Amino acid sequence: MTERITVVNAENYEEQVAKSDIPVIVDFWAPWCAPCMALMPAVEALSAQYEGRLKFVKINADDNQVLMEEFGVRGIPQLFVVEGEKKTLLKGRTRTRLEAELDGLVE
Amino acid sequence: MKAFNGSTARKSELIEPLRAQWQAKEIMPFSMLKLKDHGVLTSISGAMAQTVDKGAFVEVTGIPVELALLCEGMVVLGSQIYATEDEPMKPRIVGSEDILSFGLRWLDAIKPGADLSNVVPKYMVHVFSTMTRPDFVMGKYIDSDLRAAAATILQHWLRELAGESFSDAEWKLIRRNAVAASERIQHPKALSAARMIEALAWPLRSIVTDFVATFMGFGTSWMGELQYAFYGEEDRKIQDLVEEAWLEFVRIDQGNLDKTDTQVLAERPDIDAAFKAQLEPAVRERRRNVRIQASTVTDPVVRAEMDCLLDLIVTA
Repeated sequence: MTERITVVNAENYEEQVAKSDIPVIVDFWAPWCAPCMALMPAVEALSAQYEGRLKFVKINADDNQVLMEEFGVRGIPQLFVVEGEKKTLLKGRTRTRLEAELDGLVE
Repeated sequence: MKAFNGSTARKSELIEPLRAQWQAKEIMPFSMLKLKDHGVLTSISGAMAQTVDKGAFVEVTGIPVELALLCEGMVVLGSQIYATEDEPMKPRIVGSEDILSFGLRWLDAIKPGADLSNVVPKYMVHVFSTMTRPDFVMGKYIDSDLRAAAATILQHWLRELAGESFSDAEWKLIRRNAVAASERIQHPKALSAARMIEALAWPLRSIVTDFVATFMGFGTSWMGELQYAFYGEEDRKIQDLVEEAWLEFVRIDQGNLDKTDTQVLAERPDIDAAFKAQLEPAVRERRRNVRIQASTVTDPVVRAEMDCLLDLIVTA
């Protein structure tokens, strides 16, 4: 995992996500989840592409049931953009599709 | 990057312990690194480097992790891997010896000290060349503008390999065209090609990390197309309905169809029944047996892809 992607859990969620000055991309994942691992390189590449404009964090679904419930996550991978109180689901499952969604956020 | 850090002794140290484990099927091919996943599942590459960390894998082996995952993925494409109800965490693998032997053959082919960083990029060029050929088995489903999008990507990759580079703006335009072409496909059997074309519309070396997962979806459809002729009428119907549904689901995700997945299933009981049918143990076993029979046509295709990879590895 690159250093551009912060590992978040219930303890640091408030500081790392809720209080962020820029929109935060939250990636719910687990190490056993093949689609999560397949998507990870795309997320890592996009975290470099949008550095300074978007913040990227990862939440391990196995260890963070409370956050899973808070976001209403039923399956992984699941990505959201969080802007203050607002949580929006990202639908893209490729670098191309995610880029199109993220461009809409930063333009 | 130098394979096995340039050392023949290191190569032996890493590969030799795998032979008995692979022979005994204690390790399996996976297109992701696995090491005692769920306490039991270990991939060939995970066992070799004793890690699931991609960076650590490269450090230990001197081999690009994408190459390792692609080579294992190729074995997966050419074989049938399944678990039984009695031993759900002990998957079995069925395949011909020349397909299964590739699990270690690609490692044996590596020269210690070789720089393998161009193998996967060159293989990506090979895949796009194959896909855009008029005689490609799935070519009849690929619309002309989707084929044109793939050809544009291919030409740019070839020029990148020759030393050229292109602006971000140019690649964004290529991506936009690829997405537009992908969203216009008419045939459900074009979906896997469309997804791969739009997903990989990036500078060649920058998208290598995303290739294997995308290719595995395409490769599975490729094998499926070859296996289709071996299915009976009922299984063909199931396959057609499931593929039709997937195209609808993708259009919903793209925002091009104002429905939900649940609505699709409620409106189309035949599709709902097809999804349920393909989960039935008897249907799964029947289809698995058909896929084994179809290996007479899938094996030569997979072997050719393996040979292409071996050539690229040996000449690196």
